[in-house]
Amino acid sequence: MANLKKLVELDYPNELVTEPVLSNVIKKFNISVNLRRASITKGFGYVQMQIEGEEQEVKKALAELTSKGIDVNPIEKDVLES
Amino acid sequence: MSYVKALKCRECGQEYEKVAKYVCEFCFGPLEAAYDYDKIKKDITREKIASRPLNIWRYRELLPVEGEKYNTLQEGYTPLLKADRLGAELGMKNLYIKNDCANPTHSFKDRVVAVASTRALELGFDTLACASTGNLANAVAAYGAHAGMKRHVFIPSDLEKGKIIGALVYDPNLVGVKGNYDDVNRLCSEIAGKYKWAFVNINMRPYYAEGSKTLAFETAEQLGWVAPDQVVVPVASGSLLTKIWKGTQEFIKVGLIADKKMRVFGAQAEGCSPVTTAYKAKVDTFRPVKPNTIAKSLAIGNPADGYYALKTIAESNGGAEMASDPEIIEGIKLLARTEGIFAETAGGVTIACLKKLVESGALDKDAVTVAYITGTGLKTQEAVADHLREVKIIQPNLEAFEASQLQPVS
Repeated sequence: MANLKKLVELDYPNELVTEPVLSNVIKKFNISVNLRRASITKGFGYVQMQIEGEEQEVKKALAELTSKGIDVNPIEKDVLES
Repeated sequence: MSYVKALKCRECGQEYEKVAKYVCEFCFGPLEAAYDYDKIKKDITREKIASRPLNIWRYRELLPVEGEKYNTLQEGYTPLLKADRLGAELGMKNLYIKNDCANPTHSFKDRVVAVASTRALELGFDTLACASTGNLANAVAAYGAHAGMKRHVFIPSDLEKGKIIGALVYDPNLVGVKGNYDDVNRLCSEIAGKYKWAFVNINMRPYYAEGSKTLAFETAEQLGWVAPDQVVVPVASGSLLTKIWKGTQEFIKVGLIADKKMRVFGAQAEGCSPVTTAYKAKVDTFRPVKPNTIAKSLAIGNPADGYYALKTIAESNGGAEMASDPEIIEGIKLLARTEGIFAETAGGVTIACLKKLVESGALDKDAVTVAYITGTGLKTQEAVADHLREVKIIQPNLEAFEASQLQPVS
């Protein structure tokens, strides 16, 4: 399988900011991440990172993050414009 | 000759070659065109600009292209109307409407696509693409056709027929994507990453976005080489608002207009208001939302330039407001009834927010105010269709006509 490299933004809901969700996913799947930017403000947090690994592992990792309640978005943000 | 030195990261300042690239490799910040303002200041004059054709390219020194071969349908230099009747209704003395319905495909997207497609041709691309729900699709299809480029336009499959025809007539490869809003976004990001196309609002974004500055340039020129005191701008991706600010600052920087503290106000729909919500909550990071509003052209829940729009609003001591769907419809009708301009739903948002900002005292009633109308109502007729008077059908005789006029107006 091909290696996959993706730039993603993770938007955290309030209740997940204090949980090591990302750390758990890195342990569970064979992926590496490179964090570039992050911020936590009132009731909301985000992480921008590069995720890399075997394609299926990356997809599974991102799906797991989504299932935990994190909004996973491409770094471009919304590209569908009027 | 180009006055653009490089593409520069807005966050960390890293510079890049002027290629089709939109995100910083180091910090993931957005890239922006960086100009040699000293050189521009020496070369540009009001007289030089005034001597050129009435389109966006009269400000060529401040646009990110190299040569003088433009892909143009004569976009720009749209009317700036003194809106006395609307002003009187709102209690404003110096209100102007910048009417961008008057562009070739009837929205401000012609400005940005003219710049993006011109730069794409310079960089050797033969294919123009976008992901869009309406105005941008029309502009990309039309400007691609005009340049003889291949054109791929991606839309959600459930888009209204009127909008599909508005793009399809220019014969692009129109792809309807089955899925929700997020699915379309993700797919198009992936496609843009894989294919070597000029995706106007993705890899061409640093060039594309600069086209919006021409709205600010024209406003200042049309007001007699002076910036307005305050502006009200609809916010979707947030790019337009930041570029109207940037354009005004550039005109000051190169000496075309005097320095002025212009205040910038953002207008959003209540059903998609990440920027206004963050402004009102006094936080500097917005939270993405799932859009639910009739103002579909503003329905960007995770806006690429939302953060910078918030920064601009704060820096200019401006503000932000939001309008509900009924208020948006009233806004469209108010503008049409008082000024004779039929705006799309985004224009309804702008007018409704203008009204609320005046009522709350956020806007100065006496100051020179410009509200931006970015697209025509003919593209979103369904939004107002059920909220207008009914046609009086009569027999072809005078008696019937006069009898019909006695009926109360609904």
